[in-house]
Amino acid sequence: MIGGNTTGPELEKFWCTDSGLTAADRAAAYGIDLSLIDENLRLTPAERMEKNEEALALMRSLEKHSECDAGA
Amino acid sequence: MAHGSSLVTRDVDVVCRMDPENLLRLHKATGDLRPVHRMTPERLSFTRDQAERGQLSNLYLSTDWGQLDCLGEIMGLGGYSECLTRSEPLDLDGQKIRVLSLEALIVAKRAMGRPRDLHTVLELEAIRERLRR
Repeated sequence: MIGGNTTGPELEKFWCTDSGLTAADRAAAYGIDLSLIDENLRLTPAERMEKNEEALALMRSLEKHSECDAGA
Repeated sequence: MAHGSSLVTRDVDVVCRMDPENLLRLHKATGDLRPVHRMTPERLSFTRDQAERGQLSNLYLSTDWGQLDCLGEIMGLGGYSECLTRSEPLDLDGQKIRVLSLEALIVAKRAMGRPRDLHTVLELEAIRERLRR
């Protein structure tokens, strides 16, 4: 594993916590949808795991269909 | 996920002692799930002999239930003992496990510093900020 910051210069600023921006500001500027986090924080850990499983099942289904299309 | 991240995860990462005794426990626990070393091109089986030799620093397995990564240490935090002190209990519908605290997870992800860790760090720090409100 590589230690230390290995992102390019254009992303360096997002690692910094002394820019005067809040963590939420930095996340939003990076493109993170904070409403998804707020939604998750309303769930229990078990509910989050269930939601993750549903998302994974969808991803696997899409991957499978993608493979079928590629073979067609 | 345990702390509220929106990122979908495909695997489970655990930190554990990698001594023969514990590796044998791992082998016994995963035995019915056909564990294979997923980093080997031939996808070699995780065998009892390997566990007994105890020469593994990390174990990257693919099992019938998905990917399981067993790590001897976490960058930025240390081995099992150190991670244990920075973990907290989590109850998953009656199943009690321990997960790294939010703070410890942030330290670990920052220590790794890979491009994909940046998204995780930003989410976790936003979560920490939200929880402090």
